[in-house]
Amino acid sequence: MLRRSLGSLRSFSSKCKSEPQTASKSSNTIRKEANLVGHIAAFPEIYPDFLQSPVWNRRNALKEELERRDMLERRMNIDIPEFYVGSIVAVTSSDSNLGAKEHRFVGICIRREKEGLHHQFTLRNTIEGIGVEIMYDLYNPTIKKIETLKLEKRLDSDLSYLIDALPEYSTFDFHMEPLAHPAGTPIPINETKVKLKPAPWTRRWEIFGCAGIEDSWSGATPWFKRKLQKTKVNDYEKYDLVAAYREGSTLEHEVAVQKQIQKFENERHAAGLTRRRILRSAAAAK
Amino acid sequence: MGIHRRTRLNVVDNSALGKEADTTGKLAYCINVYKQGRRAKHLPHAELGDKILVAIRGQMRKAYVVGANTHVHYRKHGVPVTDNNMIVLLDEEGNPLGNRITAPIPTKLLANRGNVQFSKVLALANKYI
Amino acid sequence: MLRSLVTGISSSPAPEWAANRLLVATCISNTQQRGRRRTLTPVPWLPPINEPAHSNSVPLNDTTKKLLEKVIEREGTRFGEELDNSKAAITDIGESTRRVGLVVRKIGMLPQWTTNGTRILCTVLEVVENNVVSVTSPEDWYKMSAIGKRKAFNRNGPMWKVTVGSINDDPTKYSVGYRRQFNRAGIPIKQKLGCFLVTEDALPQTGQSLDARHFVVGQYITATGKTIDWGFQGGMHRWGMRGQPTRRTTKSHRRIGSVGSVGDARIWPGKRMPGHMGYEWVTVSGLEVIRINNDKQVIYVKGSVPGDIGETILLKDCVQEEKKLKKGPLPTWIPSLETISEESEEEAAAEGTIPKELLHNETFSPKIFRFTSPSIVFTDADAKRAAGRDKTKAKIAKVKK
Repeated sequence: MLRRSLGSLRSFSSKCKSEPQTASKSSNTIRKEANLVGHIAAFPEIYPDFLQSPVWNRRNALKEELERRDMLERRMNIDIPEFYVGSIVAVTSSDSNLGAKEHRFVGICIRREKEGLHHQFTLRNTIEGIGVEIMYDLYNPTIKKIETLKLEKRLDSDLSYLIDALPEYSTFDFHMEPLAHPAGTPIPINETKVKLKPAPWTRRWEIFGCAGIEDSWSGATPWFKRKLQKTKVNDYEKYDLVAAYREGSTLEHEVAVQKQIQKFENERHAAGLTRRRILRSAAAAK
Repeated sequence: MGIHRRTRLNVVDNSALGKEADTTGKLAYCINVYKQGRRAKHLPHAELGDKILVAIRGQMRKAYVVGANTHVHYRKHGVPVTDNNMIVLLDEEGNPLGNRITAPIPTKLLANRGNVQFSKVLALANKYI
Repeated sequence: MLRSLVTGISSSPAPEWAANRLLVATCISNTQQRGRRRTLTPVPWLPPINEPAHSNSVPLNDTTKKLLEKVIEREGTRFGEELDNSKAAITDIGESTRRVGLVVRKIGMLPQWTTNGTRILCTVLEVVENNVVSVTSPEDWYKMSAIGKRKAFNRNGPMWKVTVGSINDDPTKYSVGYRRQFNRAGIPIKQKLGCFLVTEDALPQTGQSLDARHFVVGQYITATGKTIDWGFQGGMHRWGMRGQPTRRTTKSHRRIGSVGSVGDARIWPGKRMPGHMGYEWVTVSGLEVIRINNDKQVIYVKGSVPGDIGETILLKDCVQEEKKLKKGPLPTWIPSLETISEESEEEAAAEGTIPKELLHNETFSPKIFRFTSPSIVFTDADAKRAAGRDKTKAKIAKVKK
């Protein structure tokens, strides 16, 4: 699912007479708070699991708070690094079928979905000529270690098209050495345009308009090109403001979550248990 | 959502029958699924580790599913999903036809070690994913 | 069987349109009332409710406002004898004993993991300010309402009717009749009410507040609630009909098709047709309680529960033999029952454990993975166990000679 990034959405200063607790604060107060807290601008990209559900009905403050506490506890026990769709990630997990042996998989992250404890990410790699994708729950306790071997982004936020791309674009060395990302530098965007295998494809990539595919139109079969005249291509999605508001995130929420994370971190550091820091940004200067 | 009648599958062991099927382009396809179903009058779908009956080059053979292309909505944590559906052929007695498996096998299948037939297939595997 | 139209509060809370009429409509009608799964609209000849004057529409000066606030506060406090908590204890619960339930709010669903790594989807239920509103004896209930005539004397024996209210609200929104039941009990006005059938040995006291710890982690509960309102739905969605094919049919793809046969010359009553779907009273039983958060009064239950997020659910102990609660707080949990185990005090002194002030006061089921512990690691013994036994061979009993 493509997440719309709004940056800092302006919230109105409404005085809610009926529910003063849920009234949104004025944009000035929020911006000041954000500066005080040291708000990370790319928060929705680095922590997509801390955002709210796009289904409005499922947003509940108490449930989100309890969920975040569980998530932060888990993040204190295991280092969940920063990675994006397009980064190369290695996951070491314990498998009941293997016993004491660990299971390690390296691959490119092709999608990150859902919010909260449900958050999932999928890694893709080609092993002996066969494309393999594994979906992991980010907060599953059987995961022992997640390492980002190469931190980078791609032109799209969803790389599902790699199934129909030539295998060289999905092949990554299992024993790749981790490439350290110098702190403070912006996240590099890998601008590779992928070549697709000859049609037929699993999905109609010529319609999706993925920036990372090189010329999907000429590769499509004549049958699909004719069918395009009858296809309902939903062009309106980029103009849908309500959907953008629903799926995106407001500065107010980000600041509130960041405050909670910082408070959590400070409490644990003060108790002398760990020195792990949850709130980090590879692109932000130290 | 899974492997059903008419689904085409790639054979990943080194049996002659499998190699011919894959090279000529007339892939094996599923005819029957040996599984207890829940819907009345409907053949259940085969998933990773299930036994199916397959039509290959005019013959019928039993096979175990060793790699499945599961839809995004039905995927489970840690279970690998391959681009193609892969099978290992069995002969009349139930022993594997080939003597080596080329593709990597998901570790989830190791849970079926207790099954005598399946353990023979697992014995051939050398790479686990 | 004749049934009066007085909707006494039963184990199903009354529909919204009847809320204010409960203590007002005392007329007994002799018209036959067939059983219905749900009642959404009131009968046309029922008189309209006179809306109570809202406080904002009546101009109040400051002194009057302060006086009103004092009155509200006084009405919401209990005067007289203190609640007698001497009988409350965590004891064995007898076969025929039925405890009170709780009126909770569904706030969402979360995954939790077991120590084996299996994922459990849990429903999160919030116990918001539950208080016992009234306790009615079976004889009084029998005399009072038609539902009492059905339910007060069961095959389980005489049952008391205990009304539980949840979610405090502004008294000025409600009518005098509605407020009276809460004033008698000395508790703040509640938004939602629910009734439970309780045996005499498990009776709580009027006005007593109920806690989430009334349920024990690991026990099974029954959840009752109104399902999601789907609105007007067609035959395919409402009844699972198959419709008609896309091609070769004219203007008929999602219709119900045939409604009967020529011989009957009519449509059978109860024929499945399009209509309102959902918002029905449904009970799901045998759900396991996984985790209870005592600070936030939240219960995590394994599985799903009827209704939308934000809706009210009634929770009771499960009644089925295998899943019955054997030992628990009777009649209900009170703060004095809280035991501070000595072991935990020693643990707190040990290094590496998180101090209690940083965590919520929670009880977990032993099979649940605690996020405060490190990642799950398996051993070779676990792998052997995971393999299971060979099911292609018959399981033969080993006979000792």
